[in-house]
Amino acid sequence: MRCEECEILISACADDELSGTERTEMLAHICQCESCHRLYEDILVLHRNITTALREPMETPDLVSPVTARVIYHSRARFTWAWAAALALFIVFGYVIHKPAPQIKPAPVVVSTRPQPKPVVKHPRVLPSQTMVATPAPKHVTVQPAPKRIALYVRPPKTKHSVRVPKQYDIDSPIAMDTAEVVVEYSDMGLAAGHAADLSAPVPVAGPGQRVITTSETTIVNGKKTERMCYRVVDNDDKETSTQGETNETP
Amino acid sequence: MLSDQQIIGQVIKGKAEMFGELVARYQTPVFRLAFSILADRAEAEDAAQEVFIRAYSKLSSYTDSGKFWGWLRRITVNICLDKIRPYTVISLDDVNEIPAQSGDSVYESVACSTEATELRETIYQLPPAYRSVIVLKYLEDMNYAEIAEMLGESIPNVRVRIHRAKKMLRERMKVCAQ
Ligand SMILES: [Zn+2]
Repeated sequence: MRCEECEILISACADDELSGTERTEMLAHICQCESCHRLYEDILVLHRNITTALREPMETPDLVSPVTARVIYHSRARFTWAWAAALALFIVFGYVIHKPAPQIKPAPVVVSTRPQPKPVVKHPRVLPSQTMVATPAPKHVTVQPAPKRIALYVRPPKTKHSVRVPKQYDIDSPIAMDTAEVVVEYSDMGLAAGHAADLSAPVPVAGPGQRVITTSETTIVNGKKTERMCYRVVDNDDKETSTQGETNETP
Repeated sequence: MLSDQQIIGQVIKGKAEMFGELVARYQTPVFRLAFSILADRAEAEDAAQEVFIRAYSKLSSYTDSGKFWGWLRRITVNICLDKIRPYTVISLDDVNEIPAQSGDSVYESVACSTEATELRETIYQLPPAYRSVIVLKYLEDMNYAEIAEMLGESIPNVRVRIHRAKKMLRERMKVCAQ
């Protein structure tokens, strides 16, 4: 064995990381080689010294206050968003309950000399004698918070770093609620140094035989981005949804 | 006194202020580990805060009951490695080459007040890739397999890098002693 190879084994031996064969080979070498024998003794001492050096008492800065402040700020922001979502639901329910009955336009009269095929009506949803329309009961869906987005590290440029990219974290804990439609608006806030923002929004999840129609609208005013998300839960056979413009459909 | 697991349960239920208790318990090891890897006080303080904020965000995914420090340590190492990542790529090809010392001023700046302090300062002067393995081995008492897994490297690579780091320390300590 060459001394260079033995040196690596000596280091690993001091760390108790040698196999039986390697140990035997190493011991055989250091019995014959004076310089490796000296190295072995040196390394054992160095091993102890490194451990002592790294574990010397060290002054720790107070992390409790800044971290707790950020965490509480963060949880309050979450609470505020929960209230905003609840308010949005309240408004939506109000709309659903007081929604006027749909008006049926008379079909255009077509004059033709040839006999026309009978039109096929797939969804006779409106009753012929329409004096009162019962509002359909809200569908039971499960609403999950959207991936919680935390922008934490936007801060003034330092000598080494400029601006750090905001990171995203996900939290999923489903909340059950009755709703047919949820509208949420949130803004991409311009964050000051060290501030955290929670931009969570509830997202409905479709039940069996249902799907969620998601529409979003992004506006940028004075450099601040606002995104308006609209989620609607509909039955799979509901043709009404085809009148939507650009929608992203989630099965 | 509440266990870590009990505190975590309360924080998840909404008592965010209880998280401060966990920070108080672990701020010293987190800061020490971050400082030892980064060798810069301001950077380490910054990283340590980041560790706790990330831990808070992911607390609901923590299921490793009774091993909270192991979980937190992994977050700490990941955050610190992200900061030194550009300097950590070292292949086994240059195994016999010891990186050039960054200048004599390094050794002049080492305050040789006590042997332990002197050695610690010398560890902080090591290139980050070498310093991090030394810290994980001798501060955190992790074995080669654990270090390799955490750094995403092979065990032989870790073994060689630790050997080289010790060789550098011995040489630098000799220079300082002269
Ligand atoms: Zn030899």
